[in-house]
Amino acid sequence: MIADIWTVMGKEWREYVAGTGAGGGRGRGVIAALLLIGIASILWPLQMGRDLFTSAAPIIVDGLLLPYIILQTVIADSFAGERERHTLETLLASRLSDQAILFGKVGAAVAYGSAAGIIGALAQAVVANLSPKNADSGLAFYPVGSVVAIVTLALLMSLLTASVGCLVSLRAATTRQAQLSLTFGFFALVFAPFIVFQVLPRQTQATILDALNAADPTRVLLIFAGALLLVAVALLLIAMARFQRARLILS
Amino acid sequence: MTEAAIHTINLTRDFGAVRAVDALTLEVPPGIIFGFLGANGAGKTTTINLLLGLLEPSAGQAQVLGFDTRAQGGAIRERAGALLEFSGLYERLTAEDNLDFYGRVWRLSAAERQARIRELLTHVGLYDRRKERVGAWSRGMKQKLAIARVLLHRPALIFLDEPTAGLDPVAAAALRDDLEGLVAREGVTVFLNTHNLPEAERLCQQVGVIRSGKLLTVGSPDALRQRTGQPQAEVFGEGFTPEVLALLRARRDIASAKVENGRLLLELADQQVKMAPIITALVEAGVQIEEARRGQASLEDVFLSLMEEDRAQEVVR
Repeated sequence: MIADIWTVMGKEWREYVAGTGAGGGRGRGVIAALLLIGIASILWPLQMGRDLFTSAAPIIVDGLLLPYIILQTVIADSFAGERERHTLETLLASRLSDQAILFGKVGAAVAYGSAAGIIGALAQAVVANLSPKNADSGLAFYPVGSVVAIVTLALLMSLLTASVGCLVSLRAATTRQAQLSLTFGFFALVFAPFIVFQVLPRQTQATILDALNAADPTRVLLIFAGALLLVAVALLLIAMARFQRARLILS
Repeated sequence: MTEAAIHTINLTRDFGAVRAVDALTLEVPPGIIFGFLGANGAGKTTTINLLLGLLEPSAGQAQVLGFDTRAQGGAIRERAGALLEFSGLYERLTAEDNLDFYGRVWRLSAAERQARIRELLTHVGLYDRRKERVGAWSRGMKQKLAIARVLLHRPALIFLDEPTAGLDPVAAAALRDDLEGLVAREGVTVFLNTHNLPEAERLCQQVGVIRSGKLLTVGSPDALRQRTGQPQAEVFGEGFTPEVLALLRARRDIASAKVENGRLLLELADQQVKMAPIITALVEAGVQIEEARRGQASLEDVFLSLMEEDRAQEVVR
């Protein structure tokens, strides 16, 4: 089973590296991802300089946003793309178990998304050190707490995106449809708390803000990470239940 | 029962109100190419999906390589290979990467994968192009690669669903040659879905004809021709007038006579009918004969007559 998961992961990675679409040369997918990470890692670390390392921004950008943005396209393609390109039937007709196919796809996506977050954080650290703001100071790096937070959140966010992405992709007729659903879901997830917050009574808003300001950041992070893990595992279990060869072969 | 590569008893599959496969009882011996003939939508692809354990039957049962399709689909897929309706190749990957992936899926060692990829790609004439991305290839090349992929893990049984569909005649002939050579060399049982009757006639030792999910007949192409098709004769020449045709149709030894593309086509009453008296009668009627030859109904004739018979019975029912 583990060997089969690795096999599927290896195939997924090769496809990520090759990139989406019919044309283009080898490595197009990785070049596109690196370009995106590069764009997200130049301007603001350059402006922040060493302040980057004590800021919460890298935890949000590299732990949450980059893994999601990088994964959104590839995970939408996971099943819907195979269905569109008529490779799913052959995969389902192979000796691979349902779990090996699903976990292989999720595993490849988690590794890809986490790697994107970590590479992003490293690239930003390099840019921050090169910033003219701290020309006279020596080299600096993230504190251990931030490193743990970035790596943990990148892993969990990738797992969540991979789980929800597989679930959406299993149901979607096309990759485009899956991408649209994921984008819509992402905006709903990001903006819904702000909208809900705005409609709350002023006194409740003040209570929430006070509680957040008084809370221990490590505790908040742990609760958030735990919630991410729970939701991701629940979605993965739903995806496992929905992965049925007979249904997929007929779709 | 365990000797047959495929054995089905009343295998049935419904999709809502539509019965895609209707009480299919079939036995395919090992080591042969079995042609499953039928028009589009006859139930051929559903049958393959049932035999691979990808779909649950609504009724009946099937054993493939001795395994029950309901409970042991995984064991069947472990030992079988399938080229389904589409080639199933990853177009963004190279030919070598495609085969390497499926070699890993079937747990071939690195050395074994390398050797097998070389062997199969050389056989189908694609070894020099193994580093190319498959997306840019012609359909014929993709199908050859897909057949190499199907045979990669030396399966005991392979399912091929219309492997030459959509290919030009040259590519289809090349693919057939490769398929014939590979199958003979590997000693594999083949379940070939096709509506290409000359292809079935050339490749298959046994054929089954399916219509609307029902198996109409099974047998060797020769036996089917004998059982269903009447002996025929073709006469080339001039002077096939309506009077000559009327004269021929009045004879007891001729079941039917028609002129098609300038030649006279005769359906003889039975195998014992001699051609000499017919030719004498034609000459006496003023026909100038250049060539006359006796033949048998083609598989296509048999297929069409079976379809026609079944349609007629359906109307009666």
